[in-house]
Amino acid sequence: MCGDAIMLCPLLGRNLEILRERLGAPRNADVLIRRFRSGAFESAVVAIDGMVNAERVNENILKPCMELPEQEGESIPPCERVSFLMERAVSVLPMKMKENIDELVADALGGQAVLLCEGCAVGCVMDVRGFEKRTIGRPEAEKVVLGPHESFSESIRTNITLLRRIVQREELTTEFVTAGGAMKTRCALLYLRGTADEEMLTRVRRRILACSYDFPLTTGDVEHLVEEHPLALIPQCVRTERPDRAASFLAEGQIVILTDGSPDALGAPATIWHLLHTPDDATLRWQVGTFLRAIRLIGVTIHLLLPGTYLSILRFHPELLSPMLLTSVYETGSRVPIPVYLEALLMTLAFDLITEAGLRAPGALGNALGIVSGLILGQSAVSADIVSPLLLIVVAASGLGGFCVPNYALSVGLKIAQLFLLTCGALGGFYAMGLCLLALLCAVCAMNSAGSPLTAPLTPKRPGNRDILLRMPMQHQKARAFFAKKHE
Amino acid sequence: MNGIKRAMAGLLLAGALLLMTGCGGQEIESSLFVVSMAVDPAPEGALRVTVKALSGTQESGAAQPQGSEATAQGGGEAADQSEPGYITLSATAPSCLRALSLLGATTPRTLSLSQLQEIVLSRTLAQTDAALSILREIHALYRANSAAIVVVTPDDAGDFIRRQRALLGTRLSQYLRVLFEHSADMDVIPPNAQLSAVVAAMESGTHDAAAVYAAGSSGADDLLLRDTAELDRLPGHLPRTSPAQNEYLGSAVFSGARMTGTLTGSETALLCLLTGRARTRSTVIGGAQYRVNLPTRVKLGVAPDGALTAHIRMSLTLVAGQGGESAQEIAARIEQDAVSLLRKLQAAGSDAAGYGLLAVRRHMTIGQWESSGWADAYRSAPVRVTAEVKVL
Amino acid sequence: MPRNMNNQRALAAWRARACAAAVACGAQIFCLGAGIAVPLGLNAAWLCALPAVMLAALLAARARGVRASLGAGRNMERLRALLLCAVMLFSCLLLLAACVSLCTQTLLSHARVIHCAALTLLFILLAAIPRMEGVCRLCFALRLFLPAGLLLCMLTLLPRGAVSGLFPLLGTGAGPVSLGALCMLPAAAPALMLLLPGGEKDAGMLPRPGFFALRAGLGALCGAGLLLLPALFSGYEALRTQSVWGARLRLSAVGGGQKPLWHMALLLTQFAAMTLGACALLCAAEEAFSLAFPRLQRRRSGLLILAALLMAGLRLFSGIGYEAAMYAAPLIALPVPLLLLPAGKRKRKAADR
Repeated sequence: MCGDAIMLCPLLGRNLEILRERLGAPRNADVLIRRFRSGAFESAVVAIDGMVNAERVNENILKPCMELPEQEGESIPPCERVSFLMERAVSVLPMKMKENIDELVADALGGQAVLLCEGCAVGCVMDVRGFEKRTIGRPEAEKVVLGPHESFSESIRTNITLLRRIVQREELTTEFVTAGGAMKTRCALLYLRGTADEEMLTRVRRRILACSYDFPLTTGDVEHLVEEHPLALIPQCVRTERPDRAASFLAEGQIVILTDGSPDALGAPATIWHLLHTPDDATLRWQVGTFLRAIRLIGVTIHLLLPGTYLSILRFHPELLSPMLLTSVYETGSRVPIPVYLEALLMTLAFDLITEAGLRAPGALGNALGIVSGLILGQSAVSADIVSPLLLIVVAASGLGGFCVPNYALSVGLKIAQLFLLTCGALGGFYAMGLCLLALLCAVCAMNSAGSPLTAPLTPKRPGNRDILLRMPMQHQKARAFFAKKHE
Repeated sequence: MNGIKRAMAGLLLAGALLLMTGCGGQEIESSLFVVSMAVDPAPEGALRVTVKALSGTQESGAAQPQGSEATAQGGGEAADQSEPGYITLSATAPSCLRALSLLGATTPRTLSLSQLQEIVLSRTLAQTDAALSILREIHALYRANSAAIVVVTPDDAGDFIRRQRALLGTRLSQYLRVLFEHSADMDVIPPNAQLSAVVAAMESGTHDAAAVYAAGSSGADDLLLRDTAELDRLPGHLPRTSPAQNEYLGSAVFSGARMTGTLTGSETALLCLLTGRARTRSTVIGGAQYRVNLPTRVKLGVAPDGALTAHIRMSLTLVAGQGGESAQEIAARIEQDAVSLLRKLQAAGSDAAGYGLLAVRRHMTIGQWESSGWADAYRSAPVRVTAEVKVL
Repeated sequence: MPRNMNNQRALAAWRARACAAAVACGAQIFCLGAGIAVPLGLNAAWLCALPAVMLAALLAARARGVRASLGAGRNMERLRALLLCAVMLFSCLLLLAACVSLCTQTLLSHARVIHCAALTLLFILLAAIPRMEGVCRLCFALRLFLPAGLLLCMLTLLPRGAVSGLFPLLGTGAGPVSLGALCMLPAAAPALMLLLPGGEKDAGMLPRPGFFALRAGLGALCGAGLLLLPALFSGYEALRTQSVWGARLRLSAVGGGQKPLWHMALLLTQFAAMTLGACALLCAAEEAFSLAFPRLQRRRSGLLILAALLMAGLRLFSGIGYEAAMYAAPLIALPVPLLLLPAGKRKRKAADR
């Protein structure tokens, strides 16, 4: 109805006035509103400067409409004028007819152009996006020795295209959902129809749609929406910036979630084994993949348990040390002025500071920082008898083990768990460490990811792909994981 | 629901953290790690316990703090700090554990026996029932190293451990470990001389213990003068030229809780052979050197007539020298030596070879076994040894 | 969700639960064996445990047939659920008592008993917060590692000629060994946790009795196997001299002393089994409690109440000695007929209809 701010009305002027008010024009200089004569009636195009491809708007919308003869469309009922233009003049492929002003505003803000006609209470939204975006680059965090070197970018459409190039199947379905409150973020759910479980899909969709946050969402935010244990130390979904890895998630029956503006994809449900696998395992031979996974597991174990074990032995169980080693530790330890627990905490904190500073320091400075802090500070601390050399080795080995974890979120979670275990080891020895490990493992085993157990298929046992801890040869792997509908 | 879970988890974690502080951990420098321990008899039935422990520093002794000999009655004696990195302390008390706690109180550090390498008892003590109670007290401590070697010495045990030095390398503990390992490889010390094995054997009614027997080079022990066998000659001669002031000469055999005899080095080697634990692969017979080819098969048994039997099957390869003796002669010599060894053990009332472990299998219950009178039967049982030797 | 996927999940859940019951049975047999069977049978304590192994398998198979009727609204069923809760709780208390006794003898010899008890209970509670699922899955994951680890440590640590420690085979004689076997029967009580309905509602997906009997039996057998260790390591004379429960438990983890790392590994594996068993029993007790009092389930009040009872029990027995708890173990056997028989009769009535 005229004057109704939610739906379009037949008066073009009124519609444009509402849109100007909503978008803040003319103060908002980005808003482009172009009125023109298209045959026998007036029309207008509304778009946001910089978000649309101006050349396509000019060539495919404005020019053909404006070149219509003056009497063209005279006999067309006013409510069908937009459709008439779409059929006879406009040459843009994706388009939708909408009446809701909120949706039209959201589409215009998203980079689409809105075509309105005098006397028609329906507008046409045309996808003529042409904003600047980053080209497809190389993955930063998931580099491989051999294999594809493409990574996702910030454009959701580009990311979908990258996946469709790899997964050329008719079952591949893209569902767009909009998450958020006042500020909406477009997400895409990709899955293989008939392979992904419908119940999981419904669960994921419901969780994303229930979001009402008023800030732009990233993949990390969507991950927090989807996961079932937000306070857990370890993630329950797997993030990747590689299209090939995301494609393998689709084949296994997982749902891949893309978020507009984030250069990575989220795979759900996930298991803890997904967090420990790398693309190198798949691209190299299975023996090499198996070996690398074993190294990684050893690294994780060292990262988690070594500092606590060291403190346990020193404070509670020195009988485990050989006489030579004990004498060495005894002599060096008696010169260090601070308790060994405090020493371990300080060294661990120093290591984390160096790691974090190295990440944040720009370029070459980051490299120099590693050398300065690692070598000079560490050596100086040992020479000044502030720390014992054996503890330095323990902390460094533990840190290296942490770097073996391919998933950054998991490595930070393990780091926090390491601190718990370190405290337990220092205060209660192996007994307290064992009890703490029991509690942690029970919590992890009880966790679910989008309804599937996080530690499956190891526990509980599930049929499906045997590619869990060891990289099995191709002929021993089933294509789909246990959470897919079909396992053949 | 989730809020309750979180609150519960948080409270439990905080409580656990608080409770862990009462678990009693301590810094490593709060402990005094004992490497060697010696027990001697003291007047009025008391025991004098001497320990050699890590001092935590590598400087030589001049500036070291004066230790004390603590007694239940009072009095004192200066501690010895003549070896860099180690400190020797003594205490006298009615029991071993009391003496150890006195040492801990006077040091003051928590005594830790987790790195204990040897326990030296004087022969006087070993020949009484006190030896078992001493060793049992030490063994009952969970953290005491139950692999520590039990040594019996005719000398003063405290002086014995004071004389010990790390002649090779810098760590006495490592030196002792390698020393015992090497001696075991040469079969000059009994195979089951560890604390746990000695205590178990002393308490057992099925076999008896054998500890290491050692003396100082200046001691006038009659074993030093015997030179009839090559293995005996080595320990007997070295004290005059070797820098080592303590020599490990063979075995001290026990009958129950008391020491009742000694074995020479060669007798100990034969005992190792009979119990199937011989490690040496080289032997010298009649001036020629032989290599033992295969694991020697020894079958001990108790015959139906009660005789103690042993069948030895051995294969030798001549390595050096001229093999003057034939295989049969070597076998006869081994049989003769084995018979004399077993008779010596019988005379001492010590079943160090473990015949009781075989005899017990014939009885179904402990009551039947204990009433069978094995100890007397063992002493008077005839001995039959057969040996098969093949020389390649 | 397709029916076959439901079946998979139900089977996996029952498999995990059976593993938890197996671990609890094995740990209970080992702990009670060290406490009761060793003083009675000395080196024949492992013989005393064999009837308990068979009983565990039988109870597991029987429990399968009578489950899913606990706490179903009627007073009798609520009473049965409460009795099951009491049995599970007392079994948990025994395991915790054994754990604390062993811990204060070995790893934390300088800690006060009550400190150690409270610390153990707190962590067990933390592990029980995610309910039965977590501990069952963990038991399933460790179902091979625990027995393999125990076996490896045993084989590495056993001195030569350790087999002699098993002789005389009948130990103190047929009489005391039989008495020991009788006193050990309550150690099979953890198998009753399979009475609980679990998360799966469809009885049609319940595995066969042999499925449970096999797992519970094997777990119990591992516990009986551990009772060989005191005899192998020490011989009957040393066993006679140990009057403290913790000291007897300790005898199963020492021997030789040459390999401290392997000793520690054996000790930690035993502790792992005991704490896992205690956690599984606590979770089972909570489930049974929730069946009797469904309204308390939501706020986890059941867990808190049971934890308070456990702490009170540990405190009580720390004052009078944990041996008192051990001697009270035969009381577990009293409710077992009540738990099994009435539901069997009801099942026949349902079948007759």
